[in-house]
Amino acid sequence: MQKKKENSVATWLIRIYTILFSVTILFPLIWVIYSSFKTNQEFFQDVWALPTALQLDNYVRAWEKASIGRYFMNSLMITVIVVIVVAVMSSMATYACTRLGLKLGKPMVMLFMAGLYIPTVLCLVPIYVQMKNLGLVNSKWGLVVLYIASNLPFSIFILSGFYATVPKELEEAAYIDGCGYFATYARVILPITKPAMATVSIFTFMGSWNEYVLANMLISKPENNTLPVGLVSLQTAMEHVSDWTALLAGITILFIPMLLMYALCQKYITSGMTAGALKG
Amino acid sequence: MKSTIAKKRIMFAICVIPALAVFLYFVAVPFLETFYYCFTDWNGMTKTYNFIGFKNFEKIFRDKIFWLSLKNNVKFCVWGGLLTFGIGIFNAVLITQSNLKEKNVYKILFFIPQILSIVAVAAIWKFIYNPEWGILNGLLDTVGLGTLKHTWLGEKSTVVGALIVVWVWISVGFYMVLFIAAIEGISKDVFEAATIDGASSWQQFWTITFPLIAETTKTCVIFFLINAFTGVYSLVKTMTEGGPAHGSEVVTSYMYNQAFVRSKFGLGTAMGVTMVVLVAILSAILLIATRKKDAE
Repeated sequence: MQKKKENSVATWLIRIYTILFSVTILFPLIWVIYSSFKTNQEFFQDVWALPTALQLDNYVRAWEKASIGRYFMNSLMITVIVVIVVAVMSSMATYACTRLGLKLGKPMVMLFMAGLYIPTVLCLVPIYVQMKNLGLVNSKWGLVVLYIASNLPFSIFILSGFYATVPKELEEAAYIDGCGYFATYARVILPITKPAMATVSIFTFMGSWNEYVLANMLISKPENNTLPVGLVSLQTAMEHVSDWTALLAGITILFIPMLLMYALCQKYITSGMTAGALKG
Repeated sequence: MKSTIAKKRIMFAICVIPALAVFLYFVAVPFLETFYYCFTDWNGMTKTYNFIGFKNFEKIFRDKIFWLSLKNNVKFCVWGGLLTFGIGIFNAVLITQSNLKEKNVYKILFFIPQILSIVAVAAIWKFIYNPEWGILNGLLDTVGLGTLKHTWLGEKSTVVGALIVVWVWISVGFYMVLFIAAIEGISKDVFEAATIDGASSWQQFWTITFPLIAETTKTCVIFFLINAFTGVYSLVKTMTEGGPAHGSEVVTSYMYNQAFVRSKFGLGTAMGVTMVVLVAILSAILLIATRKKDAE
């Protein structure tokens, strides 16, 4: 009893600290969102003030004049394809490596997991050469392939951890019923591994949507830009035409999908990252 | 029996080969190739190039800007590390040990910077650091500390510090979540017993929490180390491009410039390889040093 009383002042002190900390995280985001509804004039009069009216025109200018719409569509297309292909590829590969009982399975998983230790930044030059040889420089498909490759190790790592928890008896029952390997995979394994597939897909989505370094290296044609690269070039253009509120609208368009996804799938995201970091 | 094994092998091949091919060609091979290109003078365009042995590495060791970049990486590592782990562990302890009802809300909020694109983060912080109307200078004016105003990203003396703050802002939530998981893994009974014995929160932290999360801390430190040498590239690139006058250059941004702007592919890869070797040595030292402690 005494302990609780003693703590109430302390608890409030802690609460003040945690609230202040939350403000340092949230305020910049909230500021970008509300400022994106101001006119440029309002913005420069007082950068702190709330907008007097909601200027949706900023979004129209960003979407059309600054080509954010096109970049958004490019990013969306690339991301969706990558998510689907990575889900299929990593799920099939993990199934084959962990459930068929072949000797090659384990070393194969280890090989993929070795990829977790390779920092992309250090391999930029050879990656570029590789893409050049294939004629994939400046191509959206080039990015698709690179994103698939770079997301496979983490996906296979997460899935193999999950597959280890699925009891063997389930498949054996299916084999006895006369199911082939593929039917067993599609009808028995795939439905059970849905939660792990969700984690994998969310991570691939975040990784591809947010990616900047590879896209910046590979794509120089404006029409093939992804949203992050497009926004950086918009920022550079700001030095000449200062349409800051359109830029703010562009930034909002970039991070809102991620915030929504986080709000909906927060548990998958933190648990996946924890698993990945502690073993990887 | 034989036919089932054959069938298994066919299934294995169908399932693994596509993923394996993509992985080998776009991840594994480029990595191995860095160890080949680093001994050449290739410019990235011509068909032919020469093997020049360790000349690239000799050049690197005589390059002042390379050392300056490496020093900046070390600053990211040391200052960024101290701040990230200090605040990260502090927040994790507060959230797990306090009586706050809304604990989980903070856990969710503090993690947000991790899910944002580096481009969004960089743009937001450029607004904060803007010398004319930025939030930071505005804040300093309001509280009467106008003399402390700076062109945060434009002055050599402030730029690395300004970038480290952003780096910490991004990283704290991530490490905090890992530490929360580690602390929640400690049995509640241990803390209760300590409280009954009259141990203060401070004593509890140093005698129970810290020793029991040491293993997690070790993993995190190595993870952070690797990131401070390779991951900071995207932050530097999006916020300052290494400027002003190489003031915030890190090895990876310098490497990118040498390779892609100055067409020195060989020299660029040599810098990358130097980095890999350095990080590997540092991680090994860390692992060995902490292992000795465990044995004692």
